[in-house]
Order: sequence, then structure tokens, then C-alpha cells
Amino acid sequence: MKTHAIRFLVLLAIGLGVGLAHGLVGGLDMPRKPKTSVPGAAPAPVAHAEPAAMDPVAPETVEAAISEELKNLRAHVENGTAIVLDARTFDEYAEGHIPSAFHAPFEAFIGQVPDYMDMLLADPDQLIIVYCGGGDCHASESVGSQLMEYGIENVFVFEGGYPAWTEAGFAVETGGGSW
Amino acid sequence: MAEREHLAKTTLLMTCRLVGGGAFIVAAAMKLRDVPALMLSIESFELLPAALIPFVAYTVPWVEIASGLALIYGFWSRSAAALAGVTYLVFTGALASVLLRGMEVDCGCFGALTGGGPVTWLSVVRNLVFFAACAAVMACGGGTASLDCSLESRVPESRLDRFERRPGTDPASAAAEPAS
Repeated sequence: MKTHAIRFLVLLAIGLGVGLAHGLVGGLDMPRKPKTSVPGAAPAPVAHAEPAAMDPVAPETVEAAISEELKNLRAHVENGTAIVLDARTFDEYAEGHIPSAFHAPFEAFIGQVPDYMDMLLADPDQLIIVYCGGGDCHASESVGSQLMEYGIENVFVFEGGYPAWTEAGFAVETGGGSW
Repeated sequence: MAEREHLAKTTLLMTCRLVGGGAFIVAAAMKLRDVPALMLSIESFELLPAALIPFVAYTVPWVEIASGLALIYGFWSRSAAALAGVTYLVFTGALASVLLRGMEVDCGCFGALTGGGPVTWLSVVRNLVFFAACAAVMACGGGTASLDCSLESRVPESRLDRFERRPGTDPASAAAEPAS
């Protein structure tokens, strides 16, 4: 029994020791997290003032029930003032996504630099809004953190995610899309 | 009959070792591919103070690897199974607490590569199956198809060997000694 307890502790110590060494090399800091309040958009330029497809039949009561975040996001989508990223899986993205959103899953950051980073880094001050499946989905937060690791600071997470967009009755796009 | 039982037991224990240890190795490899994501995942469980999260995120996968590798090879099987079992129980407790608090949280059990599926009672049952596999090894050892068994089977031989070489007991040396 004593032998087993010692062996148990040895295995535990090996795991903790290697992990701690790894942590000291990798940095024992929490990743920075993107902000979660989508900022308001500037008034739409006249040339883009006809987003009929974006604006469903929305009585005033419904419009009032829509959160400020969602209104801001819609304004950015309509005005093209932000790059919107969809951090869900490709199948979910293809099934339906916020118009003009790009597919940017977290997996694209694992062990590699996503192809689109060059484009994003060309204008690091560009407003970027990331969303995923809403609720407690963390994919958008993870993608946002990764972008901030690359020096892109103006990153926001839309916490309501795709469900909030569709529940508000806003138009969606389907298909694969591309960068 | 006894031989068939022995074969069945050996196969069952080997399967338990491979399932319990293999799941840990896969989970750890996935987690280590992106530790910051694992930190966010642990944070979402709202169980640990923020200061502890990076330490846990870096050490847990390596504890999984240490116990997982030992289990797969059947080295220190009972101790490795105990460590893996305790770890599985801790994970199961964390998952159950999330469900009981009505939170919808990504499991993060296999890192970010599982597509971020939310924690469900199925996740709890899956962990309990892995725990049962470890419990079987804890109770019965790694079986004959393990490194433990190979090492144990060598011990009596070496002891016998040492015994035979003690002065006066080794037949070879006794034969070489001149009769007095």
C-alpha cells in the first residue's frame, strides 16, 4: 500500500514538475480577453443607406426590444464599418451567418497562423467583431484573444452570437463564403 | 477453463488500461496545443480563483500524460490508475457542478478541437466510464500483458540468482573449492 502511495506521488510530481516547467517557459499569464460591448457605429454614408435586405419588418415594439449591442452590430454590418468574424464550425457557418461575416474558427490558430492575418494586420486599428453560438459559447472569446495576441487591439465579442441575430429576425447569408 | 478466464481477464484489464490511459493522452495532447484556450475554458467553469488557472492549465495535461502513459504501458499500473481515477473524479465533479448550476459551458475536455460542445450529462457519464476503467485496474492491477508483470516475473529470478551466489551456496563455487 505504501509503495503504491509513493508511486502515486511520484507520477503526480512528474506531471506537476513538467507542467510547471512548461508554464514557466510558456508564461503563467491569463490570455487577454476582448471587450464584450460592441461600440456604436458612425452614421451610415448616403451611398450605403439602403439596407433593405438587412431590415426585416420590424415594428417599433420589436425594435425597442433589440439590445443596444445588436443595434450597433447591425449598424456596423450595414455600414461596412467593421470586420465581422464567425467563430463557429464551418457547417454552422455555411448553414447561416451574419451577412458579410467571415469564417474564422478558433482551430485555424492552433499551431499555425491563419491566412487572413495578413489582411487583418494591414489595418490593426480596424474594428473587429467576433461572434459564435451565443449563450456561454467561448469560441468568439478565444478567437478574440488570439487576435489580440497578434497585436490587433480593437476586438469586440458580440455575446448574443448568431442566435440573437436570428431571433431579432435579421437577414442571414448562407454558404461557404471566402476571405 | 481457467486459461480462458485468465485470457479474458488479461484482455479486459488491457482494454481498461488502453481506454483510461488513451483518453488521457488524447485529451492532454489536444489541451497542450493551445493552453491559453484551456485557461479560458477553465475560467468559464467559475470554480477556481484566477491566479490558479494558468498553473492548473499547464500542469493538468502533464499529469494526464504521466498517468496515461504509465497506464498504457502497465507500469505502476495501480498507482497510475489511482491517479487517473482521482483526476477523472475531479473532472466529473467539475462537469456535474456546472450542470447543477444551470450553466452552459464548453466542455474543453479534449481541448479546443472538439468543436466546443457544451457540457451535458453525457459528458459526466463518459467520464464515469473512464473512471470505471481505472477503478478496475486499481482493483486488479495491470494484468499479465503489462510492464509490471514483466518486471515482477524477473524479480524472483534475480533474488534466486543472488541467493545461489551467496558464498557456500553456489554449486559452481562449491565445486571449485578444494575439499578440506
